[in-house]
Amino acid sequence: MQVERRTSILRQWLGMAILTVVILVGGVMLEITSDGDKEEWYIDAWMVLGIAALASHLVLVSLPRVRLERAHRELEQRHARQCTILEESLEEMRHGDLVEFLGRVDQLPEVMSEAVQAAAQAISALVQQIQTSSVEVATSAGTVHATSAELVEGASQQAAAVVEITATTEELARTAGQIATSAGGQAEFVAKAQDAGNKGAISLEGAVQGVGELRHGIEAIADRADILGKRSREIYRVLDLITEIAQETHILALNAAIEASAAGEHGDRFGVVAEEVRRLAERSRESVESVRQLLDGFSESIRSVVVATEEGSKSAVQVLEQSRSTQDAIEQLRSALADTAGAAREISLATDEQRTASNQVVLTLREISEVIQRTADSFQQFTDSAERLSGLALSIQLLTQSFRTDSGHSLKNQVLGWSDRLRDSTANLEVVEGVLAEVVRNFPYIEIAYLVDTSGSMVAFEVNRTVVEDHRLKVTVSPGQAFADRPWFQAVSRDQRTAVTPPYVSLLTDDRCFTIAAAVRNRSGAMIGILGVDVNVRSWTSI
Amino acid sequence: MRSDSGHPDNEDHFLLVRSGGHRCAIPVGAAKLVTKAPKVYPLPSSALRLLGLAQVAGEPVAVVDLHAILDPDGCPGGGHELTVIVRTRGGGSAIGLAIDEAFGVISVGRQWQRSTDDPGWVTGRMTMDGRTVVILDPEQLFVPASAD
Repeated sequence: MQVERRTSILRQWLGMAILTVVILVGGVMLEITSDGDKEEWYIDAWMVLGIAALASHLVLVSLPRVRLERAHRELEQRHARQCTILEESLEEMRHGDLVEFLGRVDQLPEVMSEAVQAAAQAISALVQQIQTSSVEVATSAGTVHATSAELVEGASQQAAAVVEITATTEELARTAGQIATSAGGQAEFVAKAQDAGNKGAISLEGAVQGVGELRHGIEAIADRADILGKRSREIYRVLDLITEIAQETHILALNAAIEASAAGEHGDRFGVVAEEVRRLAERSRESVESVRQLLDGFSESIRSVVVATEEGSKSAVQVLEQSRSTQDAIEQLRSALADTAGAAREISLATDEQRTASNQVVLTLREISEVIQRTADSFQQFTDSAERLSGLALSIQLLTQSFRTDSGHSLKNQVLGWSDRLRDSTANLEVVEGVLAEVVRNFPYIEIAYLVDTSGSMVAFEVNRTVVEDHRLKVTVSPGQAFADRPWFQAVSRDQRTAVTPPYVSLLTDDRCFTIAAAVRNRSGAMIGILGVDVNVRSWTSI
Repeated sequence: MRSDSGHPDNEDHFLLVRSGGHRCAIPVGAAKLVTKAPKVYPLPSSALRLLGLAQVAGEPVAVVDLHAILDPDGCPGGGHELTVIVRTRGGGSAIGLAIDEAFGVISVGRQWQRSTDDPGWVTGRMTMDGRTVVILDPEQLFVPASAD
């Protein structure tokens, strides 16, 4: 092209140059010529040269220009066709149909077609890569979301635990203060108790001495009582002797009375005397008996005294032993009180230090609590970011799904393939239901696949029973149901192209889902229905 | 129980003794001596009422449990503080009656009564100070069985 253009320009300048040379040469020759004959000859020569110049201009300039203009027009026409093809192709690309785009760019010049196909394939690969990456991002975002949610929960629990520990430590600090106060008071009490113990030890020493003296007194009483017992036994022996004498006297009196009676009248006086003797013996015996009774009481009293003194002595000994034990105990108590006083002072100091340390711990824990709270907030932001990232990844996936690529991951391509299978079978309900059942069976993330006619009325549908519960189906979907107001129906009806809706909440599962709808066309290209599938986002992303 | 200065003929003199719960009157003429219970040597195969042999004033004396005589079906007496030596009128051997207590010599009128059921050695019964006193007859008390 550049060579032809240079040649054309050269030819234009060549014609102009020849004319200029002819005119200049003719003028110069007319100027320098004074002879009439030569002037005529010069004019004829100038005319011949002029004609030759015109002829050469015609041959060298005008004819190539005409050919060039014809070629230019042909080029413009071809360029317009290519622009049309390119426009149509770009229109397909604008709607994301890379498959149709690649089919159309075949009509472009080879160089251009190869370049555009390469670009389209690069875009397709990029879309698939973006889709794959968005899935990975969504998966990672889900993992990050779950992890950060656990971290948030853990941080919250940690914060709660720290708050609880802080409260406990504060209580510990208060308790330590109370213990310090109590220990101080205890030290004072112990000091008082030590004084009391010292006084008690002194008093107990006096008591021990008093008990010892009492014991000696009791032993003296016991000795006196023993002496009295011996004396009373001697008195008993005397009484026994008196009793025996009285008895002998009584017997003598009886025998005397018998003898006096046997003596008759001569013995009467003697009998009287014997009777008096007998009575005297009787009285002696009665007196002895009284004395014996008194002595028995006396002896009993002495025995009681002896027993009492023995018991008193034993009690005194016990009291003395107990007093000595008590003295030892008081001594040990004094030692223990001294130890206790020391321990109480140490406890007071230790609990004071503990209170100070606890207060520092409380301050540290509060800082930790604030840090944890900030961490929890950060984690919460992290969770929110992960959630947003997950939503963003989903949006990216949906955006990538707005491209139709020649890939099994392209839902648009899948739906268009299914719509092609229904091309001549929309009137055969069994075929339609078979295709829909196959779709639902082979693609578990599809909640429901359905076919509506051009008026938006439901023709047939197939529900994925593993995703949708039966009771929801009965109230939300039925044949003949109108779907003309649905965005996907309006978009496909309006643009005659496959449509992907933004995510929305499914009435069947309460999960997020989106709809892909494609036109079903007959062999003449006229739209005879719309095939739609609702994709469950949760199942789709998990797959 | 009295000891009068007079000695009327219509009164009898008895030695009033106690053996267990029984009060007995032994005629003074039969009573020879009242002594403390001597040491008694039991005899083999003797009757329950015969406590054994004792030596009193150098003579062997058979000692009999008066309580066992008065109440043969009751429990044997246990006190036996005194022994009354009685002698029969015929000048037979002296017999010791083991008793618990001797109150003295009493003089009583002959107002006692004798029941037909009383054994032969009971002279009669009288009441003194609200208590029944059995008047013994030592002669009948030691009559051999063949003489009955």
